[in-house]
Amino acid sequence: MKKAQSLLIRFSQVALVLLGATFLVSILIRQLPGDVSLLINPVASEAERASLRHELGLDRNYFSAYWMWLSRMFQGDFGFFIFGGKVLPVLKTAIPPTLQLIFYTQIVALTVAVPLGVTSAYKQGTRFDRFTSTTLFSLSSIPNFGIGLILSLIIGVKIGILPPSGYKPISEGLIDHFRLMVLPVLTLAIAPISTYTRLLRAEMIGALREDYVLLALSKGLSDRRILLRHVLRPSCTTLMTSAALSMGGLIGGALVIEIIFVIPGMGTQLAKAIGMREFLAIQTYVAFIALFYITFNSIIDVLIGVVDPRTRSRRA
Amino acid sequence: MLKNSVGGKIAAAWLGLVVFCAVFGPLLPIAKVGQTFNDGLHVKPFTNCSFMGPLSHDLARTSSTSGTTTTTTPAIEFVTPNDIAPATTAMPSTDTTASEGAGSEDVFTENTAPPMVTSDTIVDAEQQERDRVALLASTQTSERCFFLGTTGEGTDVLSAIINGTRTSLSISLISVFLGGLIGCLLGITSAYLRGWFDRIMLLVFNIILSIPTLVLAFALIAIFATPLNPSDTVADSSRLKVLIASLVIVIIPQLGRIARAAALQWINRDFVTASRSIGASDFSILTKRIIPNVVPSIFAILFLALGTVIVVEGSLSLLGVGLNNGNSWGSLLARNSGDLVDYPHVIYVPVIVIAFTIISTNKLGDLIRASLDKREAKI
Repeated sequence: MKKAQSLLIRFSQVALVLLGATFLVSILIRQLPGDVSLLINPVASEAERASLRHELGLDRNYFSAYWMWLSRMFQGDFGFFIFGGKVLPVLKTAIPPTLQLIFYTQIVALTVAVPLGVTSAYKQGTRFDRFTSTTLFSLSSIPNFGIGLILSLIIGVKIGILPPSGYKPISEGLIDHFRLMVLPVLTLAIAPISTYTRLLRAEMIGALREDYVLLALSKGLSDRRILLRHVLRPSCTTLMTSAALSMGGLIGGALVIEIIFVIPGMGTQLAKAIGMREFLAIQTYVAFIALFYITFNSIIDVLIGVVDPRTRSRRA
Repeated sequence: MLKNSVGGKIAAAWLGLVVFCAVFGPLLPIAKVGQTFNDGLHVKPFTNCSFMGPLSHDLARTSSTSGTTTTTTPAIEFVTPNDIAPATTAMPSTDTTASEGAGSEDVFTENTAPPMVTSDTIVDAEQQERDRVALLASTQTSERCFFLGTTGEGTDVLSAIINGTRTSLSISLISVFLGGLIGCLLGITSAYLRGWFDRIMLLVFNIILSIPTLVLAFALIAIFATPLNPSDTVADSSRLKVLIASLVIVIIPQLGRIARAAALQWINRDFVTASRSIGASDFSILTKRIIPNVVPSIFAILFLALGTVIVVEGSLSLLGVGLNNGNSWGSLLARNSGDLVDYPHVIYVPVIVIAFTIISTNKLGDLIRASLDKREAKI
């Protein structure tokens, strides 16, 4: 009962934030200078423009215009492009590349960061530890567009073992798809690898001082078992929180990386829509980005409860 | 704090250099190869530098004056964009009117005093042009050095970087300062007042934070810096204002949340309760007890935010909504990213400069945080 209640509260908070975010965007979009109805039909008469404005909700106040947009969204009407076409088909093609990019990046970052973090916590203070932390610190300070440009130049063009830019969906060949994804994913992964490794190392060093580790040692368990079962597992919650928090940076980073590596994802579409002043499309895109970000964070929150029983009992 | 850290010293030195360039950089005119060579011709790095010896050796007739090798005719190696037979051109020393800019800074500071064009002295365009011609004439007799090469527009990369420092640094400093100030005030007040004000502030912060930083900044600039007519261009100054304003809006909730959390740690301490029990007003508790304790930890975060803002500025330029006049690090990068394959040096240099700056701010932020943690542990 308690659990259902807390989930409900959590859910309503998420819904409130999401509504607020989309409302904010709808207010912002209305601040675009100039008459949008003139953009759609430059030779329209006064009456035609008035009816266009009415259809777009430009003659309403902020709240009723937002309500109109929201009810249309729930009916599956995701808006249209001023210069022709519906938003929905574009959205369908743009979401997979971005999601793949972010998903692969998280996987790569975690698979690299967990061993690195565990090893440097185990060997803390040694040359390996210092080398890893300095290297990661410096690498993560290079702006991701810089890494992207340089990687695509050196590996993609000068050495030429991987294609420098482009995108192919999985259906057009798995190997091609992954070959094209390697450079952008590598570019995006460097910052989270550094963050995760640092966090995991600090967290594990803290956990290694706990009494239960001493107990496990005196029981005669192997170092490996202690590290993985007794130290890594409780440290994972911080890692997961950090993974959720880094999502915002990753989405923002993906926008730039998509443009550098010519991937037809959300970033490319958003840039295009903003350039063309497709305000209906911008609203939908930003709403989807916020929806994804918030949903991911809530899922991680629930997952942390599953992984770490301590937080469960504390909450109840 | 800096005593035991070599990295910290290097970071502080680099930031000092950056600040120095930001203050005095714009006194330096941006060196240009000249109008006649304007069609995407790049000068390679280290061209004609005295310590390396002239690289375009087939043209440079070297004669030694006071120990250093100088070329009598300033020789610059040009590379055609399609890389067929690198054409080498010597610039005639009489052709002064066609050239717009001046030579490299380390040369002219040795030879001539640079014309001090400060913001408070109003120099009309004619006078500036005469200064430039005079400067050019003086550098023509000595040696031109393109230490880091030039961009496709013939701008010397080194002087462009030094000139761009002021814009880049002031964008990040102003936006981090304003955003930090407003964010801290809101965060600390809401932590102190609690109740409905706190709840609303937190909701607003969460709403703004639910849109990723870059997406929000991108949308804000695109909306507020859009010209009425799509074919018009927006003036750089208004673009700059909108850029700073959107960065401030983006920073407020991030620092506000951190300041709120930091203030919450202090609000229930005994000394706060004590000063409340002796009848101190809310205002004096806030200013005398809480803010002095919160500010140092915010200070460390501000350094980290500085680095983030520099990256966001660059990203926005690359996305095509930031500055595009080549007058800041990010816009220099964005403007020349098309030349990446043939002339990578125009990309390497800004990236390395940005990376160094961010490493430095992060390092200093870390050091401040570490020294604060030590202080905290003592309490």
